[in-house]
Amino acid sequence: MNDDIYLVEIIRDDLAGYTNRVANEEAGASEFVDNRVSVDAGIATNHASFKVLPPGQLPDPPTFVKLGSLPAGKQPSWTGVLLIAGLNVAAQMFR
Amino acid sequence: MRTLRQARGALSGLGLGLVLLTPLAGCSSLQQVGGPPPIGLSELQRNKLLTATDDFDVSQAMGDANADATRRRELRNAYIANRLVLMDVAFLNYLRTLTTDKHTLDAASEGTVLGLSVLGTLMNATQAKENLAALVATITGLKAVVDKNFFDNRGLDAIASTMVAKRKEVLARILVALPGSAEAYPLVAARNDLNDYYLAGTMDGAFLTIQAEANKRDEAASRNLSQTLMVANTMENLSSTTLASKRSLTLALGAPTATLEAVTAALTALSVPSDQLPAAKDAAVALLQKYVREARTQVQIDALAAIFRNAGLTP
Repeated sequence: MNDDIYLVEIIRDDLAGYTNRVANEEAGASEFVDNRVSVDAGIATNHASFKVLPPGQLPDPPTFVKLGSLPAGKQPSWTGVLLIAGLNVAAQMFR
Repeated sequence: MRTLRQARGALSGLGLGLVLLTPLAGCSSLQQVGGPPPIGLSELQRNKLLTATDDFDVSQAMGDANADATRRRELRNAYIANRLVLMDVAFLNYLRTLTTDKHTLDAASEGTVLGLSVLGTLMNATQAKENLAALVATITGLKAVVDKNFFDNRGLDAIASTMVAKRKEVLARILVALPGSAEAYPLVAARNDLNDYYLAGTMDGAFLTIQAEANKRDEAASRNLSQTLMVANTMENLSSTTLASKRSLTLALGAPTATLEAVTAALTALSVPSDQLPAAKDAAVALLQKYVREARTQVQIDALAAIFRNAGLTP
């Protein structure tokens, strides 16, 4: 059960909104795994995948930034592409 | 590890950074390629770049550099940068060709004779789209996994968007590896990534990506995952207070106060039928955690927080 992966559709106009949605999901004992820009019913969208964690477990809060704008001293825990405001954005996540 | 900004700085030092990084912004939308022609390369510049990226010469130069780690990294990065410039210019021109053909074919579909081509079938009627699906399936031998919905739902813009997104994924991989030594990121690995980068900007690459997605959907379906396999979008952004509240509910389920009695009381308040209440604590906690996970709006989280308080799970 704890190995379950599920997908969440995320449509946002900015990275802060995307971060908020991921933080919302992770607050329920899930962990962000990856994001794929995909098409659903003819509309381009984000399909974020999450891993179900054991009950009571929380990852550190995430922050998504544009690729290359990582704060000094931070290591990215994910690098990939997000669809933000209808445009592809190369982004990174750190915790 | 150095940052990506430093990696880009290293490329700028090669005098090619500006040209290289332009597509990062310029490829963000297909609409942007409908404008004037991008600044291309002169034949002289192109030949110079091709000569500079001759595989044999670069391999030999790397060998000559031998123990000079800095020189080996410089040679590798110059090779990558030059190849990326060549590929980016070619890709931008290719995108322009696609959009030009789109306009041509749109006009042609109004009455003039439509030439049969892969691109033509993309822009034609449903039957032609199915022909394309069959063609792609034949070429790849993966007919079973071609998702026909893709051809019904996606247009040329979506295919180009897939190419651009996949290219950025590969580019991100290359940029992250760039500050590393020639041993950590050898020339052969760079060549592989550059090949992926090229492939991502082709129709075949886009179809492979689409087929991989279709495969994943097939696998997911066959695994018969839970009903939460795909959670629909919600536009609500939670306040920091509500986010903290949801996190505290999850933390409460890992705390000693999460006894079977308390968790059962919360599940009962959530209208779980008595014959479906788990008898074991672990199963009961897992079920209640599912309720917390699926509370995604402020109203839902507030309601759950009240139930947790009443059950003695939180103060």
